[in-house]
Amino acid sequence: VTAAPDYVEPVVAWRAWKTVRRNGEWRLSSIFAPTPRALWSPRVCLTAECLAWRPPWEWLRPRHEAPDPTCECGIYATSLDALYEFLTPSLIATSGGRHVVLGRVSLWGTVVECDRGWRAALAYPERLFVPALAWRTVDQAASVARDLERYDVPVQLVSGRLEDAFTVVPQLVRPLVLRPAA
Amino acid sequence: MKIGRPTRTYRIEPITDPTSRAAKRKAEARQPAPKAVKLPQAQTPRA
Repeated sequence: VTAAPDYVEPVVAWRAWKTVRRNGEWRLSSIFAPTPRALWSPRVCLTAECLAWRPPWEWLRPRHEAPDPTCECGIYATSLDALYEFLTPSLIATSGGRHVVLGRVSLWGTVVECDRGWRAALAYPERLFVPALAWRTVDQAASVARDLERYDVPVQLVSGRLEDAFTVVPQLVRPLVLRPAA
Repeated sequence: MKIGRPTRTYRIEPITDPTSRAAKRKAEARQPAPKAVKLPQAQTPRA
Protein backbone atom coordinates (compact mmCIF):
# COMPACT_ATOMS: atom_id res chain seq x y z
CA VAL A 1 0.00 0.00 0.00
CA THR A 2 1.42 3.39 -0.96
CA ALA A 3 0.50 6.73 0.57
CA ALA A 4 -1.86 8.88 -1.43
CA PRO A 5 -0.25 11.96 -3.02
CA ASP A 6 -1.05 15.40 -1.59
CA TYR A 7 -1.72 16.86 -5.06
CA VAL A 8 -2.30 15.56 -8.59
CA GLU A 9 -1.25 18.66 -10.55
CA PRO A 10 2.38 19.83 -10.81
CA VAL A 11 3.51 23.13 -9.35
CA VAL A 12 4.31 25.50 -12.24
CA ALA A 13 6.81 28.27 -11.48
CA TRP A 14 9.56 30.32 -13.14
CA ARG A 15 13.23 29.63 -13.59
CA ALA A 16 16.13 30.50 -15.90
CA TRP A 17 18.40 28.14 -17.81
CA LYS A 18 21.77 28.50 -19.41
CA THR A 19 21.83 27.18 -22.98
CA VAL A 20 24.77 25.04 -24.03
CA ARG A 21 25.77 23.35 -27.31
CA ARG A 22 25.53 19.55 -27.24
CA ASN A 23 25.98 17.47 -30.41
CA GLY A 24 25.51 20.57 -32.54
CA GLU A 25 22.24 21.65 -30.91
CA TRP A 26 21.31 24.07 -28.13
CA ARG A 27 20.16 22.41 -24.91
CA LEU A 28 19.00 23.63 -21.51
CA SER A 29 21.38 23.42 -18.58
CA SER A 30 21.43 24.63 -15.01
CA ILE A 31 23.04 28.04 -14.49
CA PHE A 32 24.44 27.13 -11.10
CA ALA A 33 25.29 23.43 -11.44
CA PRO A 34 27.06 23.23 -14.81
CA THR A 35 27.67 19.47 -14.67
CA PRO A 36 26.56 16.96 -17.34
CA ARG A 37 24.04 15.68 -14.78
CA ALA A 38 22.34 19.09 -14.76
CA LEU A 39 21.69 18.96 -18.53
CA TRP A 40 17.98 18.86 -19.40
CA SER A 41 17.19 16.32 -22.12
CA PRO A 42 14.23 16.73 -24.50
CA ARG A 43 11.17 14.60 -23.62
CA VAL A 44 12.80 13.29 -20.42
CA CYS A 45 12.05 14.73 -16.99
CA LEU A 46 15.06 15.83 -14.97
CA THR A 47 15.54 13.93 -11.71
CA ALA A 48 17.16 15.81 -8.85
CA GLU A 49 20.35 14.54 -7.25
CA CYS A 50 22.07 15.96 -4.21
CA LEU A 51 25.31 17.52 -5.49
CA ALA A 52 26.26 19.05 -2.14
CA TRP A 53 29.90 18.74 -1.07
CA ARG A 54 30.60 15.86 1.34
CA PRO A 55 33.70 15.10 3.37
CA PRO A 56 35.69 12.08 2.06
CA TRP A 57 34.74 9.86 5.04
CA GLU A 58 31.10 10.04 3.89
CA TRP A 59 31.78 9.07 0.25
CA LEU A 60 30.97 5.41 0.87
CA ARG A 61 27.55 6.20 2.27
CA PRO A 62 24.74 6.64 -0.23
CA ARG A 63 23.47 10.16 -0.75
CA HIS A 64 20.03 11.12 0.51
CA GLU A 65 17.13 11.50 -1.88
CA ALA A 66 16.71 14.98 -3.31
CA PRO A 67 15.20 17.29 -2.28
CA ASP A 68 15.75 17.03 1.44
CA PRO A 69 14.30 19.82 3.60
CA THR A 70 17.50 19.91 5.69
CA CYS A 71 19.78 20.25 2.60
CA GLU A 72 19.81 22.75 -0.27
CA CYS A 73 19.39 20.17 -3.03
CA GLY A 74 16.59 19.84 -5.59
CA ILE A 75 15.48 21.48 -8.81
CA TYR A 76 14.78 25.14 -8.09
CA ALA A 77 11.96 27.41 -9.29
CA THR A 78 10.49 30.64 -8.00
CA SER A 79 8.23 33.57 -8.91
CA LEU A 80 9.12 35.88 -11.82
CA ASP A 81 9.72 38.79 -9.42
CA ALA A 82 12.13 36.80 -7.28
CA LEU A 83 13.95 35.58 -10.40
CA TYR A 84 14.33 39.17 -11.65
CA GLU A 85 15.89 40.25 -8.34
CA PHE A 86 18.27 37.33 -8.41
CA LEU A 87 19.46 37.36 -12.04
CA THR A 88 21.66 40.44 -11.91
CA PRO A 89 23.85 41.17 -14.98
CA SER A 90 27.02 40.48 -12.96
CA LEU A 91 25.68 37.09 -11.86
CA ILE A 92 24.81 36.15 -15.44
CA ALA A 93 28.29 37.23 -16.57
CA THR A 94 30.01 35.12 -13.90
CA SER A 95 27.83 32.08 -14.53
CA GLY A 96 29.45 31.48 -17.90
CA GLY A 97 27.88 33.80 -20.42
CA ARG A 98 24.80 35.64 -21.42
CA HIS A 99 23.03 32.79 -23.22
CA VAL A 100 20.22 32.56 -20.70
CA VAL A 101 16.58 31.73 -21.42
CA LEU A 102 13.58 32.23 -19.17
CA GLY A 103 10.69 29.89 -18.75
CA ARG A 104 8.13 28.13 -16.67
CA VAL A 105 8.77 24.68 -15.28
CA SER A 106 6.51 21.91 -13.97
CA LEU A 107 7.66 20.47 -10.64
CA TRP A 108 6.47 17.22 -9.11
CA GLY A 109 7.47 14.23 -6.99
CA THR A 110 8.66 15.35 -3.58
CA VAL A 111 8.41 19.14 -3.48
CA VAL A 112 9.87 21.30 -0.70
CA GLU A 113 8.03 24.60 -0.57
CA CYS A 114 10.16 27.49 0.73
CA ASP A 115 9.48 31.15 1.60
CA ARG A 116 10.20 32.32 -1.97
CA GLY A 117 10.09 29.24 -4.19
CA TRP A 118 10.28 25.47 -4.49
CA ARG A 119 12.83 22.65 -4.64
CA ALA A 120 11.57 19.53 -6.41
CA ALA A 121 12.56 15.96 -7.21
CA LEU A 122 11.30 15.95 -10.82
CA ALA A 123 10.94 18.74 -13.35
CA TYR A 124 10.27 19.46 -17.01
CA PRO A 125 9.97 22.80 -18.90
CA GLU A 126 6.43 24.01 -19.46
CA ARG A 127 7.16 27.02 -21.70
CA LEU A 128 10.33 28.82 -22.84
CA PHE A 129 11.18 32.42 -23.76
CA VAL A 130 14.34 33.24 -25.72
CA PRO A 131 15.53 36.87 -25.40
CA ALA A 132 16.59 37.87 -28.93
CA LEU A 133 19.48 40.11 -27.86
CA ALA A 134 21.07 37.50 -25.61
CA TRP A 135 22.78 36.22 -28.79
CA ARG A 136 25.01 37.90 -31.35
CA THR A 137 22.26 38.19 -33.94
CA VAL A 138 18.49 37.77 -33.99
CA ASP A 139 18.96 34.95 -36.54
CA GLN A 140 21.14 33.08 -34.08
CA ALA A 141 18.53 33.57 -31.35
CA ALA A 142 15.88 32.21 -33.74
CA SER A 143 18.07 29.16 -34.40
CA VAL A 144 18.34 28.59 -30.63
CA ALA A 145 14.55 28.84 -30.31
CA ARG A 146 14.17 26.24 -33.11
CA ASP A 147 16.54 23.84 -31.33
CA LEU A 148 14.63 24.28 -28.05
CA GLU A 149 11.40 23.21 -29.79
CA ARG A 150 12.69 19.66 -29.34
CA TYR A 151 11.45 19.90 -25.76
CA ASP A 152 7.90 19.84 -27.22
CA VAL A 153 6.83 22.92 -25.29
CA PRO A 154 5.90 26.38 -26.63
CA VAL A 155 9.06 28.37 -27.37
CA GLN A 156 8.78 32.09 -28.01
CA LEU A 157 11.40 34.57 -29.18
CA VAL A 158 11.03 37.85 -27.28
CA SER A 159 12.59 41.12 -28.36
CA GLY A 160 15.34 42.72 -26.33
CA ARG A 161 17.78 41.54 -23.71
CA LEU A 162 17.14 39.20 -20.79
CA GLU A 163 16.29 42.17 -18.54
CA ASP A 164 13.66 43.34 -21.07
CA ALA A 165 12.10 39.87 -21.19
CA PHE A 166 10.99 40.23 -17.57
CA THR A 167 8.61 43.03 -18.58
CA VAL A 168 7.42 41.31 -21.77
CA VAL A 169 6.71 37.74 -20.69
CA PRO A 170 4.03 38.49 -18.04
CA GLN A 171 1.91 39.90 -20.88
CA LEU A 172 2.32 36.71 -22.94
CA VAL A 173 1.13 34.19 -20.35
CA ARG A 174 -1.80 33.79 -18.04
CA PRO A 175 -0.96 34.51 -14.40
CA LEU A 176 0.07 31.45 -12.45
CA VAL A 177 -1.53 30.12 -9.33
CA LEU A 178 1.78 29.73 -7.57
CA ARG A 179 0.65 27.48 -4.73
CA PRO A 180 -1.44 24.36 -5.10
CA ALA A 181 -4.92 24.69 -3.66
CA ALA A 182 -5.01 23.60 -0.02
CA MET B 1 19.35 30.87 -6.02
CA LYS B 2 18.08 31.98 -2.65
CA ILE B 3 14.50 30.83 -2.11
CA GLY B 4 14.39 31.01 1.66
CA ARG B 5 13.68 28.45 4.31
CA PRO B 6 11.47 25.38 3.83
CA THR B 7 7.92 25.84 5.01
CA ARG B 8 6.39 22.46 4.11
CA THR B 9 6.98 19.35 2.02
CA TYR B 10 4.43 17.54 -0.11
CA ARG B 11 4.18 14.77 -2.66
CA ILE B 12 2.77 15.46 -6.13
CA GLU B 13 1.85 12.65 -8.50
CA PRO B 14 0.37 14.21 -11.65
CA ILE B 15 -2.45 12.26 -13.29
CA THR B 16 -0.77 12.80 -16.66
CA ASP B 17 3.00 12.95 -16.90
CA PRO B 18 4.00 16.59 -17.59
CA THR B 19 6.65 15.33 -20.04
CA SER B 20 4.13 13.58 -22.29
CA ARG B 21 1.56 16.32 -21.63
CA ALA B 22 3.88 18.78 -23.35
CA ALA B 23 4.16 16.57 -26.44
CA LYS B 24 0.40 16.02 -26.56
CA ARG B 25 -0.34 19.74 -26.30
CA LYS B 26 2.07 20.46 -29.14
CA ALA B 27 0.53 17.76 -31.33
CA GLU B 28 -2.93 19.18 -30.69
CA ALA B 29 -1.74 22.65 -31.65
CA ARG B 30 -0.49 21.27 -34.99
CA GLN B 31 -3.81 19.61 -35.88
CA PRO B 32 -6.22 21.70 -37.96
CA ALA B 33 -9.52 22.62 -36.32
CA PRO B 34 -12.27 20.09 -37.11
CA LYS B 35 -14.60 21.11 -39.93
CA ALA B 36 -18.20 21.87 -39.14
CA VAL B 37 -20.54 19.10 -40.24
CA LYS B 38 -23.81 20.17 -41.79
CA LEU B 39 -26.65 18.23 -40.24
CA PRO B 40 -29.72 17.36 -42.34
CA GLN B 41 -32.63 19.63 -41.64
CA ALA B 42 -35.46 18.15 -39.63
CA GLN B 43 -38.61 17.58 -41.70
CA THR B 44 -41.93 18.58 -40.28
CA PRO B 45 -44.50 15.78 -40.54
CA ARG B 46 -47.38 16.47 -42.91
CA ALA B 47 -50.83 16.73 -41.44
